[in-house]
Amino acid sequence: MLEGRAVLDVKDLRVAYGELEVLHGVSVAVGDREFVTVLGTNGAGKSTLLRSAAGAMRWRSGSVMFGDVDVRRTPAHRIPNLGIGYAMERGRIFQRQTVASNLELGAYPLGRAGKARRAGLFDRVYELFPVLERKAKLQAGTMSGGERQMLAIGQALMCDPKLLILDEPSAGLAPILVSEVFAALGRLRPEGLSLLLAEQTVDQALSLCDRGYVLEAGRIVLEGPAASLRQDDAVREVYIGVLGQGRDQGPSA
Amino acid sequence: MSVPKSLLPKGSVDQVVGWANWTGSRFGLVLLAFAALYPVLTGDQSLLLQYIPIGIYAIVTVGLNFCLGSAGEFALGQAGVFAAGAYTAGILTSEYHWSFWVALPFAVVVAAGVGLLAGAPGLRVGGWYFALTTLFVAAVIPEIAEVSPHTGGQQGIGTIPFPSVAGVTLSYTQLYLFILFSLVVLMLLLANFMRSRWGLAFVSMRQSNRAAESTGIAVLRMKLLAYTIAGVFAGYAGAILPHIDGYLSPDAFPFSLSILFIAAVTIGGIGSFAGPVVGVALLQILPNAVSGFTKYSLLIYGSLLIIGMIFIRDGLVPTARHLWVRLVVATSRRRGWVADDHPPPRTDVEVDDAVDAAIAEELESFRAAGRAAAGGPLDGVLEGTRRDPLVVDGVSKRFGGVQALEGVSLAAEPGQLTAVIGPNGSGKTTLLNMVLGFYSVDAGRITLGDRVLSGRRPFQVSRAGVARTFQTPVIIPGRSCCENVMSGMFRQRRVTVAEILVRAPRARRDWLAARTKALDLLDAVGLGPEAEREASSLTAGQQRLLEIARALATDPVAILLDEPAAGLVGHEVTALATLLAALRDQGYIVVLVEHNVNLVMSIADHVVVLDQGRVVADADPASVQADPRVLACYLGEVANA
Amino acid sequence: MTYLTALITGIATGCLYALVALGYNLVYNATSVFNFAQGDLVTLGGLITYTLLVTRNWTAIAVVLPVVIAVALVGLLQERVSIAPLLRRGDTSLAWVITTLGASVVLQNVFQLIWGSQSKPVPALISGGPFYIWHAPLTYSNALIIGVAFACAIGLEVWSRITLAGKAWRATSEDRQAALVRGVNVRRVGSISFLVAGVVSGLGGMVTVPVTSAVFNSGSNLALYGFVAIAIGGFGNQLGALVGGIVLGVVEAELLLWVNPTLSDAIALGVLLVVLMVRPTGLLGYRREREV
Repeated sequence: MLEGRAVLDVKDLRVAYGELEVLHGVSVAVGDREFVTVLGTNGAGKSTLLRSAAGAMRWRSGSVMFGDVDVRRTPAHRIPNLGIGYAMERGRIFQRQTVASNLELGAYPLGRAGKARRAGLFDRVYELFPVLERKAKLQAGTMSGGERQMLAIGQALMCDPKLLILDEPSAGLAPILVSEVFAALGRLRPEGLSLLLAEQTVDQALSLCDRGYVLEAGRIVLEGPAASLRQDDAVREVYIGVLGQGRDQGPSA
Repeated sequence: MSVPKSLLPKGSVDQVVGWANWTGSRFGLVLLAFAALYPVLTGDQSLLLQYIPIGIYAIVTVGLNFCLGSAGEFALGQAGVFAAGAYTAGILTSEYHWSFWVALPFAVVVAAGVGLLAGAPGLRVGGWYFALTTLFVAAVIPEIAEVSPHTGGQQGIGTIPFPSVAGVTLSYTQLYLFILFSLVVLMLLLANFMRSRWGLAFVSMRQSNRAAESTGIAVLRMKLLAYTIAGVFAGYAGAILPHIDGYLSPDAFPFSLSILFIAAVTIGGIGSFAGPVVGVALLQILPNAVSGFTKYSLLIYGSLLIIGMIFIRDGLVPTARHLWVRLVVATSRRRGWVADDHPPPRTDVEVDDAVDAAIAEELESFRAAGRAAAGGPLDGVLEGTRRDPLVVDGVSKRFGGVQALEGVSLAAEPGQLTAVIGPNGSGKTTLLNMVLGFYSVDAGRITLGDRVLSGRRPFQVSRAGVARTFQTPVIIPGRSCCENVMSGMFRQRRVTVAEILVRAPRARRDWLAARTKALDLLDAVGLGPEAEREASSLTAGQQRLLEIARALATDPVAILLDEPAAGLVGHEVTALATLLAALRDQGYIVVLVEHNVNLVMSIADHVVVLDQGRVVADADPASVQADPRVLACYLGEVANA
Repeated sequence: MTYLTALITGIATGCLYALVALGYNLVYNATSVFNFAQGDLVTLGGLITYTLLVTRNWTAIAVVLPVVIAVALVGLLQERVSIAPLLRRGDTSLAWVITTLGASVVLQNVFQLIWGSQSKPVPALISGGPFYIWHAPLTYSNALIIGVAFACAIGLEVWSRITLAGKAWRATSEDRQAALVRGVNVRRVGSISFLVAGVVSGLGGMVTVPVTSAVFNSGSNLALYGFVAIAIGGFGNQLGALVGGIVLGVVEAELLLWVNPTLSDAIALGVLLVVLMVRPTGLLGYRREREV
């Protein structure tokens, strides 16, 4: 299914919060220049999966390899240096600082050597999300939810990553903004990045990506090329229950 | 904890632990009593003079320990209240010639009042702000005494008479016995207090302020109460102080005294009863035992504070008890006195795909069957109560630049199970928190019948009849399931504090009534056999049921559940569904915020779908499932259903 | 003493409180811990200044570096012993209130053992007569205190807004997890904050002892006053610490014209209670979440 070597290889991941195990042996892979999406309702474990893949939390067992590098052995703050740009759920940006400063902080891992590249990286983000350039000097906390989400993605792009990990960028966004965001992500293709995207809006995610996984209650229940998942009724079932059932029987007396 | 028939530990591990705890604490008490009475028995006068301050400081620290352990508030400056008590009593007996026995209660009231006035502004903010404010107060009160004309300034008061009874001056021994007697009585009163609904309320508060508020406990008022109680103890002890040596000056209250109190409580064991007494004894005896101590006293106290908090953590008394219990259990195991009849705790529950399918089937059958099995003890609970709906009307809320909710309206009827679903970021949890009073509304109203809920604080919403459960079950560890449920019954107490303190028959009956009701509720949710089990040893599913039992203990008309199926596996979801259906059938308003689609669609009567803070659909499950707009907000397109 | 003289003295004293408060801010922003022993680090700065300047007769300039380095190191050591173990185990209770209190008391005892209990006078660092502002005297020493406080506060604020490292520091204090994900070494930010706090405290101690004299137990008082300064000015903002300290110093100086000097603590407490009742987040601070 995968051509060439995996950029990100997650094998048999088991993650627990205290005593409660939420991922029961999940395996996911992202290839070179591949756009992969992980779908599922809330509580399925998408955020946990992404957080672990991005090295932002510990897991019980299993492995996460970024190319040759073992993510588990990398200290959390060095993950961006490896080439992973991670945007957390709900777009956690620094509300007390300006948009431009937020983006600058995204480039923090590049260090002094990166100063030369920074202008180019800024240009890329502004080209993708023009609203950020317009609001560059404003405090990030004054922006709307959608704009913050764009800033979060922009931040993740500023460290010039090989792999972009995005956790539900469409959460809480109006449909037209969702389209805008996904269109922007599409424009990233020629840059040669890989993308791991967790999403709830099934259709947009499957239109953008090459392959998809469906996660339910901590397990992968479906996987395959995006095109075939789009046709698959099983995906819909995961979200709103079996359609047939609902229509035949009413609520209990 | 019952005393086993024979003196040898036998039977299960729990019994052995119980026996060990019982013997350990009895033995400790005997030891303490002997140590305390030693100077009296031997007639050693110099020893007696050393013990008297220990007794007085012990009274202060028992109060401080209560405040720290029960309310979780760091009232570090008790030395100030102590000083206030001392000066008040000293002035009354020396300048105004009051009798010591009249001055004492008066000084207690004054001191506690001063402490309350100075501490209340900080308590509102809480945390370390409060801690530092009280430290400041402790520094200021002796300074005020230094400049005030009444208190003899730097020199202090010199003519304080020794207490006397019927004209006969007490001897040092008698004074000491009085102090001991006071200490014991105060500790007993405190123990009685803690073994009541009040005690459980404090424990619940300590575990989680939010959870306590959601059972109707006004947390700020309780904290003020705990702080005042500590003030009473400190004032009492302070009132006795000047009468020992006959004089009083500001030098009696240096900064190191506050440190001494804190260190004593920390080392003895925060929250343990005998802890502070042991701590004080140790810190007072050490200087006398080790020569040249005073030069290094602060160094030692400070180091003990650091070491105590970082390493010993629980304190001397709990650690000693712990070691004793472990010793007993290990010995019993080795001697074969104990049968390990508890199954190993479950850490990782495997769920088969086959079970998944079986669950879906089961849920279907519940829907078809209607009334659920566990309805017994809940029967008729809501008879005769008003059947008003919970109404959310045009509610909007903005956080910074984000409009979380916009014009949301819905109604949850009694006898119906309403589910609120929606994609991430749709505002479900915000809505729940707004109904419960954790956020204020920007626009709109939330009402329950004719009672307006919007704008009220969480504990007021609870008292209006709305109960809740949390995403992660909030239960009180270290307490039995029964006590956990009882902790929700604070509001329904029918006895006065006085009756509790003296263990009046009415108080015992009230406690029994609460216990009976708790056991009934545990039966109703299916946890009957686990009533005496320690709450944190339950599985996630069981803890969820326990939380619901506790919510029911507040006598609500509505119960709001935040993702109750989160973290539950197959059969646990089934048990939950059964219970929720039973509650619905009894006439409760049941509102569920949930992601587990199977659960929602099979037991909900009424589904509300939120997307980006707006209501997208509001109908029965079948219609919602077929609604193309609902599909759109999850799947991202208008589907051909 | 006229109102103007009191005002000037008040500003100078206020700047001392502000210097303590700056130290608190730095540490608190990085670790969410209020280091009670910060006041004692200021005291240490003063005591070392006494030893080098008076006992060993060094020049004022030569003293700066050793003082600052010594205090920074002791501060780091204090953090390792009394705070880091708690943070490492994710202790979210208020245990650090007690450990930092313990550290403060230990330091005081050590100071007493080394330097004794007597208060040690220190000559002015810059010799010369006072300035006059409308006939009210401003001594060189007081001017130095004010200068250093303003320089530190403004310097730190500017640094945090302009440099990338400063922005990273602010990001850490706003959302530690998000900063970590962006590649900021939050542990190192914490340690550096402690070092800088030590530097500021050391400097503060050094410029203040000519006015207040060096004594082993001034730390507790400074701690409490620094806390009031923070309460007034609000957290998260270095300028807030400066404003808070100055307000406190001026209010106190003016009221002391009428009231017995022993009651200066009572005045500070009164100011604190008013602030807590009226505006707990302070004048310039952010709404910080209560640590419960």
